[in-house]
Order: sequence, then structure tokens, then C-alpha cells
Amino acid sequence: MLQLFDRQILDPDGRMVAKVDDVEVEERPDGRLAVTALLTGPGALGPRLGGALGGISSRAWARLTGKDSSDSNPIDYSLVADIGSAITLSVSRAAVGVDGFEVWARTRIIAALPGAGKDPQ
Amino acid sequence: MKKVFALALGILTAIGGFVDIGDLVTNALVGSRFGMSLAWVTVLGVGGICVFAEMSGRVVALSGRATFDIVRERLGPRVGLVNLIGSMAVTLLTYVAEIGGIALALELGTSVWEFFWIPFIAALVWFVLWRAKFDLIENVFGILGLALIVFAVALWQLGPDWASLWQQASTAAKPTNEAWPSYWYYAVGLFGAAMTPYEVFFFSSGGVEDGWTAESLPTMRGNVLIGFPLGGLLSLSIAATATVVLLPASIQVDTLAQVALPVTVALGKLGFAFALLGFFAATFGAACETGLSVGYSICQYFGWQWGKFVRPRQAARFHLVILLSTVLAAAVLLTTVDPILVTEFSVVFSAIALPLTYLPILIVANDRQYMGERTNGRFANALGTGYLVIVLVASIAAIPLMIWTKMGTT
Amino acid sequence: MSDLPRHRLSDLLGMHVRFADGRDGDNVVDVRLAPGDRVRGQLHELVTEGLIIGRRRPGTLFGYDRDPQEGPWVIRALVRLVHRRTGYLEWGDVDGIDWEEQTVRLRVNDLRELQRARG
Repeated sequence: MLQLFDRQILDPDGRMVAKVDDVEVEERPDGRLAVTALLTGPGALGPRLGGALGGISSRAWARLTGKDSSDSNPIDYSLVADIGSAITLSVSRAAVGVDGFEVWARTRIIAALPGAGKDPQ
Repeated sequence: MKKVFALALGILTAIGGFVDIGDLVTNALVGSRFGMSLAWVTVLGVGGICVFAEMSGRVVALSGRATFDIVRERLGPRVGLVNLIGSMAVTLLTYVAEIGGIALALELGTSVWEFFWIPFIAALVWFVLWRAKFDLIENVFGILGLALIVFAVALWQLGPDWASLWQQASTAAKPTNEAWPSYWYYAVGLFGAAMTPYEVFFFSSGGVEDGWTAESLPTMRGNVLIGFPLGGLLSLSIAATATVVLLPASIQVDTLAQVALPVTVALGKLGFAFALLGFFAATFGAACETGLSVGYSICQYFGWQWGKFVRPRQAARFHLVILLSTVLAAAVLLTTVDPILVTEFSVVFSAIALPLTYLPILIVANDRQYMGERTNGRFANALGTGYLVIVLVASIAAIPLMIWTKMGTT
Repeated sequence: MSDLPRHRLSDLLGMHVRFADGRDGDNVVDVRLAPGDRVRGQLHELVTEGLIIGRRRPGTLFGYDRDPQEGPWVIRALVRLVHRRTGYLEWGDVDGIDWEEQTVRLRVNDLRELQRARG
């Protein structure tokens, strides 16, 4: 079954990229809508949460990542390789670049701690 | 041969890792006030955690999707977020209780006030979660937790009237000096202590950490269906020793020392040492599990990379959440709040959080896209649905009972 | 890049429908997608195939619209009960979508039976 909403997006190595927070479609002349991109991030999830909760969480998250709160981190549909219980891309996580908060967390805090780059023992 | 060894290790780890501060305190407390009349609740709760751990383990082995991933996908982002906030609150509360429990165990062993242990323990727990391998965490504390078998040994040594214990348990004979509302309040608490939500988050996320596949199913089932019930026997032993020693003396449990008292009575200093080791292992292991579970739930909801199977750099948000949770837990404990009180709250609130946690698991365990041909059979569905009704009843009754009985004090 | 109008699919969820005779109907609860003719990247593109219309919020079907054989039967029965008025529309039944007005205009006057989706 071809469900997209709220599915986990993985890269070919199994690394977690994001969740499908929303889906972008284009309106064809015959009236049908065709999926063009997967949308992730606070700008995409906020409206789906609806109401005050959505607004607050979008803005809070946007502050942490330094992006515009309506920015939605699109992943073009052409990068999707498989749709199952999760959605697998054909490119690596780094190539997709939806990781604002992750990069912030990594550079500001985690990298400062010893052993961040080492495998667990 | 290797498979047998792996299965044995898994079972032993499951037994030793089953008990946490909630089980220690609640079982001893119940034994000291209600005897064995609430034993049926522990049996019921152990049955429930077996059913849902097996289901969530099967889901993750076949689909790679851990529990909170499924919660959002099945319930939608709005209800999923409500669920996340509720589950995180309960899991954080439990994290506070577990770290407090470690401090109490160290206080018991060293007579240094638990308050002074807190910063050191919080840092140690965080460090273990930062650097130690997942398997190491699970196995070391699971095996050391087997020291709690001393409670079963103590029970044997005390030479109780087995017939009377059995009669109390099988007829649910509430003592006359306790009121029914209190009885049911502690039933809810005992149930929440046995069926903690963080257990399924941890168990299913652990399936991803350990790379489970369809081949792992028999071992997983062995761990759950043999290990958990035997762990439940440890819980019953704790209640039974409290029944035999504390109930006749009207000693009500409100410290960890009293939980250990029956063992000291039966087996002296050596028994006490084992109990102490068991307390430390159980609470430290559970602290690691709850700390990780806070990270697992929030990352699985938002789709962020999580897990000990990648380097910390690659799961920065996951580790940031764990770091912040640990700091928060330590801060709460440094307000000098009694960890036993926090534990009592955490088991009751665990019972409240159960329905929304288990419903998505039951639904997805029937989804052919996730499970292939191994969807639930009629029996699993009957059990799952039955337990869902029970957890719903317990969840709804929890707060009214808590208020009515003033947390069991009336 | 084409310059066809772009929208968020989540905007479609929650829109109410208007039947051909002017009556207002219930809301869009879910959108069914199916593989289309063109290939986009590695897969066929996904196009809208139908709409699930009901009174409840999106997401409360728990997936029970997809496979009628799924258990446990108690939960399936409860979901069916809650969604007894929920129906289905094929995309051909849709006349047009007013994104600003949040309305889906239909060519038909009735919903279809909620059926198992293909694919």
C-alpha cells in the first residue's frame, strides 16, 4: 500500500533521514495531483499538527535550526528508491541535506565531548 | 551450540533485568501491607508484558520499525505527539526514580546520604550511555541483577507457611485492616510497575540495535516467554518475603532498607550484600534503559537518527536528548525529593500511559505490509485485545483512585 | 522544472466536499495514491487515485480501510462502527479543487462504498 505520511525515510545504508511530514504535489491539467517531493521539517509538520500547537512547535524548532519557519526541506520524489514500511532513498543522508538541527547539535555540543567520533566500546 | 549459549544469555539477562526500582518498591510495599493478596496482579502484569513485548519484538524483527516510529505512523502526528509527550513524561519520571534508586542503593551500602551520590551517579549513567556498547549495558546489568535471586533463597530459608501464602494469593484475600480503594490503587500501581511503557520502547529499539531479523524470532521469543516470567517470580519473591517478615510486624515499606530487611533476617550480612548488589544492578540497568528510551521515543517520532549502533557524532540529537534528560533528572533529585515517592508516582503514571502505547503495536502486528505472513494469530489477537481492555480500565481508574486514597495512605 | 501549480497534500486533508447538486458533504479523511504512467527517478510517479470521505479527523482509520481481513476483529469492528458513514470517491468523481475555499467539488451526488485499495 502506498502510504507516505509519517513514514520513516532511510538512506541506502539504513541511516535515518527524517519522517515524511508532508507531501508536495503538482496539479496536472487533467485534474490529478502527482507527488513531486517529500517534505520534512518544522515548516512541513507544523500545519499538520494544527492550531496553536503547530504554530508554537514550528517556531521553536525553526529557532533552533536558524531557518525560516515555513521552510520545508523538500526531498525530490525522484530520489525515492523503494516504498514499504519505510521509504528508502537512492542517495545518502548527507546528500539530501535536511539535517539542520542535527548539524547544530553535532557542532555545538556533541563534537565538544570526548569520544564523539569513536565507536562505542 | 553458540545459539544455545546466546539463548541462555538472553534469558538470564531478561530475568536479571526484569526488576527495576518500581518493582522493588511496589512489590515490597504491597507485601508488607496486603500480603500475597495482590499476587494475581503481578502475574497478570507479567503476562501482559510478555504478550506485548513479543508483539513489538516480532514487528521490529520483521520490519525494522521500532515502537514510536509505528505510534506516529499509525495514530497520526497529532495523537502521536500527545502520546509522545505523555510517554516521555512518564519515562522521564521513571528515569528520575531509577537514578534515585541507584543513589538509595549506594546510600544503603555506604551510609553516605543519597543526595551526595546524585551528581556522581547521573554523570556515570550518562557516561555509560555515551560510550558503552549496547550489548555490554544489557548483559552486564542483566547478569548482575540475578543477585536478586537472594530474595527467593531468603524466602526458602525463612520456612514460611506455604499453604497460607498460596491461600492468600489464590483467593486474593485482602487483609481486613486495609480498605478496598487502597487495594485497587495498589493493584493499578503493581500493574504499572510490571508493564512499564519504557520496556516496549527499549525492547523494540534494542531489536534495531542488535540487528534482529526473522531468524532472531525464536531467540527473542525464548527470552520473552521464559525470561520475563522467571523475572516475574523474582518480583513475587520480593512480595513474599515482605509478607512473611514485614506484614506480621506491621512494618510498612517506605525505604529501600526495609525492602532488604527480610533478606537480612533470613541470610544475614551475606544475604544483604547480595540484595545490595541486586538493587544496584537492577536500578543502574533500568536507568540506562529509561535514559535510552527517552532518546528513542523522541527520535523515532521525529524521524531523527538514533541508537548506540552508530557513533555519537552521527546521532547528535539522540545524545543531546539523553544528556539533557540526565541533567534534568539530576536536577529534580537535587531538590531532595524522596526517590521512593517519585517511584510511587511513576508506577501509577505508567499505568495511565499504557493504552495509547499498546494500541498501535497491536494494530501493526496485524498489518501484512509490516509482518508478511507472520501477522497475529487468533490467540495473540485475543490476548492482545483482552489486555488492551484491562490497561484501558487501569488507566482510567488510576487518577481517581490516587486522589480517593491519597496515594494509598488512607 | 514544470510550472504546474504546487500544493501541499496535507491541505487536501480536512477539506469538505460539495456534491454536484450543491449539498455539502463530509471531509477528506485520506487520499489514495497509486502508481502513474510516468517514471520519476527510480519509481513510477504517484498520482491521486481516490479520496476517503468521512466525518472524522484524518488518521483515525488506523489503516483498516486497506485490508478488510485484518484483525483483531474487535478493533476492526470498532473502527468500522466509528466510520460507518465513511465512503470513497474515485478521482474521476472530482470536478475540481478550490484550494482557497478548502472545497472539493464533485461530479456525483453520492459516495461509493469504502473498498479495499488496489496496489
